[in-house]
Amino acid sequence: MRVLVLTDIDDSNSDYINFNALINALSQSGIKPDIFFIKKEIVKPCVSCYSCWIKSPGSCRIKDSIDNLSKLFFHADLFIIFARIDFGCYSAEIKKCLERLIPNMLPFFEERQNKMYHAPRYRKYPEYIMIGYAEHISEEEKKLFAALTSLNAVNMHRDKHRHFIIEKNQTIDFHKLLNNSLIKL
Amino acid sequence: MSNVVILIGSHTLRKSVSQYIEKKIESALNDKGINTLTLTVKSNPTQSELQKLITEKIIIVISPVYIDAPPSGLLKTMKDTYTLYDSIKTSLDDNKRYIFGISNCGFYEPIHTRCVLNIIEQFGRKIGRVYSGGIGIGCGQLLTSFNTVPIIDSYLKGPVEKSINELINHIEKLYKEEEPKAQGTNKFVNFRISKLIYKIITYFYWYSLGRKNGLKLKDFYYCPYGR
Repeated sequence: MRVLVLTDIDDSNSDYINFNALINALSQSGIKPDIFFIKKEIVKPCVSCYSCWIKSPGSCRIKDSIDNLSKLFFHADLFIIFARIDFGCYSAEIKKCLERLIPNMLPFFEERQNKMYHAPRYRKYPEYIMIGYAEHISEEEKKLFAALTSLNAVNMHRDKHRHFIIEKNQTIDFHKLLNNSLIKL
Repeated sequence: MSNVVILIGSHTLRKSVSQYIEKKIESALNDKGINTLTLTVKSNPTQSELQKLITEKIIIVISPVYIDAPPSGLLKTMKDTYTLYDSIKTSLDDNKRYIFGISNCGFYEPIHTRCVLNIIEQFGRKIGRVYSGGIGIGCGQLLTSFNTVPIIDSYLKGPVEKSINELINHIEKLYKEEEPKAQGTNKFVNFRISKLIYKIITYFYWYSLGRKNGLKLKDFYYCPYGR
């Protein structure tokens, strides 16, 4: 199984311990993930020029590290996002990357779950796990994060997905958690 | 008197729907004698501008929907504002402050804006504001269309315009302290158009833009990373 991990974490972050635990748990399962550390990459924000839909379909006109992320994304069976939660949403850095993956959808609409969504460009997309970490998080923010993750899964053309929230000073048994998740996925 | 601060969350290079909504609200509030200050995330607000998002009595955040959430630039501005709030909150007075949210999406169903409005609400709470209501708008792109045909324009936009006007009246009452009910809920509105017609309009909209760039129909489906 090929796994891509996208994260906004760096080694100065107190949640780096949990991130390391996640990578170790993947290694114990014999998986060597591709890791995309946003803070070590150059990623510019999407400017909604729609070139990726109406000029050069499927390709972003901004040339930076996103091209590499897109390649890894389509080679992966599982896509894990490890993100800080702000206001019930993942961080601006993670959001910047997700916005730049818009070329992987078509401009045209299709209907799913009685709502309009952009149709997929590709036949196959990786499975999806979202792991959020936060120092202080309210119950409302937790619910919002769960709702947002579900909607993103529909947008990424996944019927099933998993999400987890790591709160301050919480340690996680990622080995157990991933095994359970992957079975459910 | 304080200003009503309007924050535009769009960082598009084109003229955005969020800008259109901002202009409408700005001119209506100015007509009522209320001063406004507009900030855009595109121009990276300065520290003193972020401080106005904390200290002014009323702020309005206008945001498009990018993958179910606000654009990354708006999230960054919110985070920077919260960081600043944390450092100055002890020096703030006890006056009540309010936040409104408006979100527009290109999908037919306005419910796609729900998470964006909820995120704006959470941001407001974190910087000590009362969430006073929001509007989620479906078929957002139509707001800037049909302007040349006034009868069709006013018929299609009727429900959306009505909601925006109600929000402006609510802001006026809060500003002039005539409104006892400060808290508000979200309202989701759409244009008077059927889903099928909207789907056809958007299909031909994207197709015609691609054609102008020399694309044929099959080119739209090109997969650079294999199928």
